[in-house]
Amino acid sequence: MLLSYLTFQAMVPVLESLGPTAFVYPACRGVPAVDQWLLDACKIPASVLGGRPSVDRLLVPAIPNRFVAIVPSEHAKALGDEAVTAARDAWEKIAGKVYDHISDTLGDDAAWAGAWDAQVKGYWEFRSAVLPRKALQENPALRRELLGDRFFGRAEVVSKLRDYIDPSHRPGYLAEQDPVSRWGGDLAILAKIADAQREVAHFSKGSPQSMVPPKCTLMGDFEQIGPAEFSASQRFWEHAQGSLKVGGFRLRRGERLSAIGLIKRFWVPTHLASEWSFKPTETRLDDTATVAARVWLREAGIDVDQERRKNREWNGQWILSATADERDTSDEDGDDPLDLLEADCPLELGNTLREAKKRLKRAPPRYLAVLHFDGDHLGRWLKGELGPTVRACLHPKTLAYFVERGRALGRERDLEALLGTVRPLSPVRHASLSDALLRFSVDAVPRIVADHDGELVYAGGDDVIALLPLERALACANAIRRAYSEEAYMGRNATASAGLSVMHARSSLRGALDAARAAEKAAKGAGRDALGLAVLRRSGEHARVVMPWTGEKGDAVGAFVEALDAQRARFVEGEAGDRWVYKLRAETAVLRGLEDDAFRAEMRRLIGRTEGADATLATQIESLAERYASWWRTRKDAPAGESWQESFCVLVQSASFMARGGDER
Amino acid sequence: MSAVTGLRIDTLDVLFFRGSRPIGPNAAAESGLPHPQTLAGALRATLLEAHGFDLRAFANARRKPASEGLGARELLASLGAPQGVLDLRVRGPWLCRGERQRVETVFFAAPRTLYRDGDVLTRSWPARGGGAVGNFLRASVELQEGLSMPLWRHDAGDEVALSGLVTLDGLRRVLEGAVPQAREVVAPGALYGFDRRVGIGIDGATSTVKKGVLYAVSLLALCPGVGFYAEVEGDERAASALFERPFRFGGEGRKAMARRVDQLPGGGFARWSVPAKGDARAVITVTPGWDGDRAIPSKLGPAVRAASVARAALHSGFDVARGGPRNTRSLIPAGSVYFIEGMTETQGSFAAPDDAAAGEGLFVTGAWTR
Repeated sequence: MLLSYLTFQAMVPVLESLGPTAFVYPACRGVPAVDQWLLDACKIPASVLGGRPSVDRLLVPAIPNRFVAIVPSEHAKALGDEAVTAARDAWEKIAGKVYDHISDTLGDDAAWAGAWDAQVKGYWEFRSAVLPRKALQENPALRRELLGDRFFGRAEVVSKLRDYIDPSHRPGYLAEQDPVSRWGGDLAILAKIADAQREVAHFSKGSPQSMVPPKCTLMGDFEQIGPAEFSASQRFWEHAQGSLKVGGFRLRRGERLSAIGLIKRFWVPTHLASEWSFKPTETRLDDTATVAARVWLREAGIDVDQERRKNREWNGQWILSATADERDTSDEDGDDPLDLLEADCPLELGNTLREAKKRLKRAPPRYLAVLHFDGDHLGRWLKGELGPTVRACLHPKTLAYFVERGRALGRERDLEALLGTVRPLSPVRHASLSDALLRFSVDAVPRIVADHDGELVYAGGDDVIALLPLERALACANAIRRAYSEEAYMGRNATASAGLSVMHARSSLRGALDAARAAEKAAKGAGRDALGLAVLRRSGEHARVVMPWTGEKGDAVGAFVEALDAQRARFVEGEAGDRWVYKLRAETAVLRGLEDDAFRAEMRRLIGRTEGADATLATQIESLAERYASWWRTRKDAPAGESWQESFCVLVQSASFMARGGDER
Repeated sequence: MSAVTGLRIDTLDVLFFRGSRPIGPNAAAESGLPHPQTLAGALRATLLEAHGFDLRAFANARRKPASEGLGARELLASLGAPQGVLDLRVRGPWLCRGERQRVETVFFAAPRTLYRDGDVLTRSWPARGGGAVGNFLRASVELQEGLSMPLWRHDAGDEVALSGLVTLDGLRRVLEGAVPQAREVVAPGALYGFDRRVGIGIDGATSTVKKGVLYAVSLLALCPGVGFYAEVEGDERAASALFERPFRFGGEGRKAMARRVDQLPGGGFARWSVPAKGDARAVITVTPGWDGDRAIPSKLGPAVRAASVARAALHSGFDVARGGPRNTRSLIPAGSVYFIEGMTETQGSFAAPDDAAAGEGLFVTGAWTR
């Protein structure tokens, strides 16, 4: 959210000078932060915008960390500099407000603030790049030399279409038109200028202190603020944990943060809430334990918002501590983190949670999923390398004209190749892509994530990060994938990959985010249009597997994941369980050398011997296995030494683990 | 007698290198690759012990106010550490492949000027000279202070920065002004992986399990046939105690075994550079190194015209004297590339003398063509 907010602040100078239509990427219409700006800074009536954006929508980070705008060349450099300054100023303002809050609360700045400035000043790097398009228009050879011949090959093919027009029919402007796509080429050059400016990475300056405190528990690359001497540091943080609280935001037990960690924790209540006029308590950013238990809480009739209001705070860890299976009373000094948390849990809520556990005959799930979703080849889409063909863009009458001309000139085959080429990117098509991505991130994704009881962390362009209850994770990921390819958004030719990591509510969220990112990369590495799954059992195997969304050609998008998800219920409700998978996996070392039929026969045999398994289970699992094997043969970079059989077993085990909410058997 | 000795280091266990970042309950900590200082420290400690030096006395002395302002080397000397050990220079460690005393090849971080577009490798070049392209780029690309030439990729395909490692032959090809062949580029997964372990928290007072407190670590596990290569330069007799004996390396009492290699790969670090005509050279860093949190080291600074430096490698280390972590330092990572004019040194280190002796900031040079 913080980076999205800072990027928006960088956009403000351009918005103020030229308005929202100057932006090519991202599209601005309907972006909650832009709507808020239109309301507050431009005094546009809320009725014009269809109402004031809700706090929930405002807090969805929907602005990617880079933007492209078309500006008058004489103001370009100044606007770029202003954008950088605006982002930098906003960061310093935010840091200043958090600092003031800490200073007001803890006092004695000299004792804790030694490393503050060094950490704050060195954290972000903002850059702007300017492309003087006029210079390229005046010198087409320069554009060609900057991009290289490979870029021009396809664009030149398309320009040959003009040769098929009867000279007497050619419009005059054709003679003056640049033979290749100026827009796609210019964007590619702009991206390369931005890359060239980043060739030397930004280096943060280290702490000026010679003796430093230990590292931040949230961001281990930075030192904690506070005294360096250990006992003084301990006293400082004990005091800070008891007193640093604002608008429901506080330090968690055991946390000792750097300046950056503290700013990330407290910037919403100290800055953003007043900036966008909402109460910090309205933000309702649930923690991992609450997201893990959301479906269970609803079934139990426990309303988190109501409990938060009643108790003036909410901590998802209360769910875990109040419903823990065993109470270890040996640790009477209160050091046990669970004891301490339960001590915090309001008595009535604790009783309600325990009663609900008895009534529902199951404990709240302790595992949740982190989703990282990313469109495939978006860079190529935005460069114009993917998209509709020339044929698809021509009016039927125009197409008929060209076909006729090709025949008349005896060049039907050449024309056919030309019509099948992807049409180079135009500004209009670029704007429509930006708009499609905006609608996807602002309209589709928040709705889908909310429908699946998830918590949206980021939705900007084609990127999505969300926390999801395990029971809904596969269905949610699949729904987002399907929406991405809907005609209202990116269309059926666009594909996407995602990673889902399954984490314990007490494990490191940072680790789970990294695992989800790695799973998404593995899905891309497998040939894209796939879903990677990483199951991070807290005290067991960390299993990783990639699966197709769809499975076989001709199936509906998401058909494979839907079929897998449909089997989940059997692992929970049925008696059959998944013991057979463990046995099958143990045998894969032998079975992998045999024909696929042998594997399927053994799978049928093991399922058949499982008590409570009905005949349809074997049929449905076999169908899944066949589709998985078929996809495996087409995938790229299958890990050396890994077979589809073993991978399929891991997949079923993982689905079973998710079905049980992470309950180990 | 002073000589360069090549070491092949085989791990006897999985290893853990963390850089002193905190490992708390419920955090999953993943090992990195060993830092030059880590190996140099391990080798020096082994040699000092082998020569009968009392390391505990050194730690105690470091904690005394009298030692404030003294560098580790001066303090060791004052406590009677053998000069031959103190004067040893260590280079590496680099991942290598081979068996026992034989090192077939050494692996280096891929130079940052390399890109991959599908199966095609390309590279970026400084836009130098006049002409429309040079003038346009110099006017359009805002460069960091001190640099005068932007780096540019002339093939605008779907290229991405090359990740992974290159072999010594691949590195040399880059130093000759070309790109490595496909077989000279290696994915990290072909050389090492991670072995995950879960531990429980134990209450120190009662020796009972702390409920809900689990520690998870991913330990570095090298593939069969893969080890580390390092070089030691100095008194051969002082260094001889390193060979064919396990030494502590990789945390928590884990050990590795060092063997003297039959032949220095590629003639050793001193011969890895490639001759260049004139005074224009490309410099590639082969170990990370620190120079005041700068991305362009001051030693190269005045001569650097263009550069490509990846995000800093953050490193902290542990202060034995205080029993606490050191400042986090932003290290220039291995694989950084500088295009320089007017520097005569063909290989060396940009780091401060003590850090350079521990193998930090090593660089090799080659041709700057195109």
